[in-house]
Amino acid sequence: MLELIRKYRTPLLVVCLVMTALLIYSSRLRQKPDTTLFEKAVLQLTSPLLGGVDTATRTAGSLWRHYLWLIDTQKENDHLQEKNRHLRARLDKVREYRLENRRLSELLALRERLKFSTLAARVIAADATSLFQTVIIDRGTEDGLHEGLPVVVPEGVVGRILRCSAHQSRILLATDASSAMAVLVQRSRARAVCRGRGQTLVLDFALAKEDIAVGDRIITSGYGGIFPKGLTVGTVRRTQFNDLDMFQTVTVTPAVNFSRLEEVLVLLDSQP
Amino acid sequence: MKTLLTYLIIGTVFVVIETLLPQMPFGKPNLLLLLVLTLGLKEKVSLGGPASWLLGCLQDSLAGSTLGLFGLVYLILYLCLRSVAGHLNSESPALLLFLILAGTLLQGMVLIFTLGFLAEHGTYWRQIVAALPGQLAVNLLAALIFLQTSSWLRSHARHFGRKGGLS
Repeated sequence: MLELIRKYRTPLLVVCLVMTALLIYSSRLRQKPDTTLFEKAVLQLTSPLLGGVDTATRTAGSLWRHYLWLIDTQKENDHLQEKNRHLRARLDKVREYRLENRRLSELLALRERLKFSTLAARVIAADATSLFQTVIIDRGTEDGLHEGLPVVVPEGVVGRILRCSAHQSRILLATDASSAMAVLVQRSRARAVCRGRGQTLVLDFALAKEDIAVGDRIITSGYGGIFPKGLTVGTVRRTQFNDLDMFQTVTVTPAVNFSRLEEVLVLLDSQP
Repeated sequence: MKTLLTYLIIGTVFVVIETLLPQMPFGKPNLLLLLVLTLGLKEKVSLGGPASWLLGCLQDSLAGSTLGLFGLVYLILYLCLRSVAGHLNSESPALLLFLILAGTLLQGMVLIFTLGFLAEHGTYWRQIVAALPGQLAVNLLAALIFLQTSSWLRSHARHFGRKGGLS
């Protein structure tokens, strides 16, 4: 018997192995959900190895991609940065368009509100000195403008045209010391002359007995032949008088922010 | 004529720069004043007089409401400086800084006089007096930049001249 087994050792071993494999397989087919001890042990043993290999592979891949294989990276980086710059510029432009649209809409609303024919213009430069308050707009005699026409924005009076050339005009702002306009205190109807004082306005010839209080709105009176009646000039900031004076000193904050003028409306036929 | 034209071209560039600068709390630098002071130090009355008056008129076209105001002011400044220019060392860089100080003060005084006594509205004097310290500082800064730029240009011109000579 032993002789026989020794003689057919190899085929017998093969058969045994196949049989064992078949038996285990068939028995595992019936108990599918369970994890055997063997499987568990293998998984447990291989997990650090698998993890290590995986990490090493990923690190190597990452090193290769990020530090060694960089043929296209510079090109791609340049391309993306260029694209980023373009997009930023476009975004800035869109923001600027949105703000401009808002301003122009307000100007258009004012244009529809006013009964006069008007012309929109863009401010292109400021006064060459800091003493005088003038700005230059991009419309001139070719567009129908002439000296003396009033200029407004939705917030109120800007000034009047001082000099006109074919395609440009200079506006004397209401805050210039040589600017004067006839005004009314809206609440009490007191009359005065509004003069510029650089950054603020003052009311000249406002009688001391007139009722003028802080916060009162100042509007154009329509006298003087330049500004139509009812345009906002500013708000009373301070009043001061003593009993001996005939007139009171009234300081007015302009309604318009003259340092941020961008688009203006010129009133073409504003004679009251 | 060529020199006059050169001064006017530089003046035009300066005045355009001034109009493009936004209104600042300390005022705008008066670049034309620098030019008028240079005229006062270097040019004779036959050229410097008309040039300074024309430069003032150039400024008047883009500032204020009366043509000729700055023309008169710059002419007076030029004549004042010209009358003492012979006693000054025009090569000294410190002189320009002193002249800027004196010129700004004198310009303010002449402006107050001109606007107060010759024009119908006399309320500008408050603004001129209030703005004077800021204007002095800004003009001094502009003069310093002007001096630095001119010395840099001079040294580079010398350098390139030497290079050109060698080749």
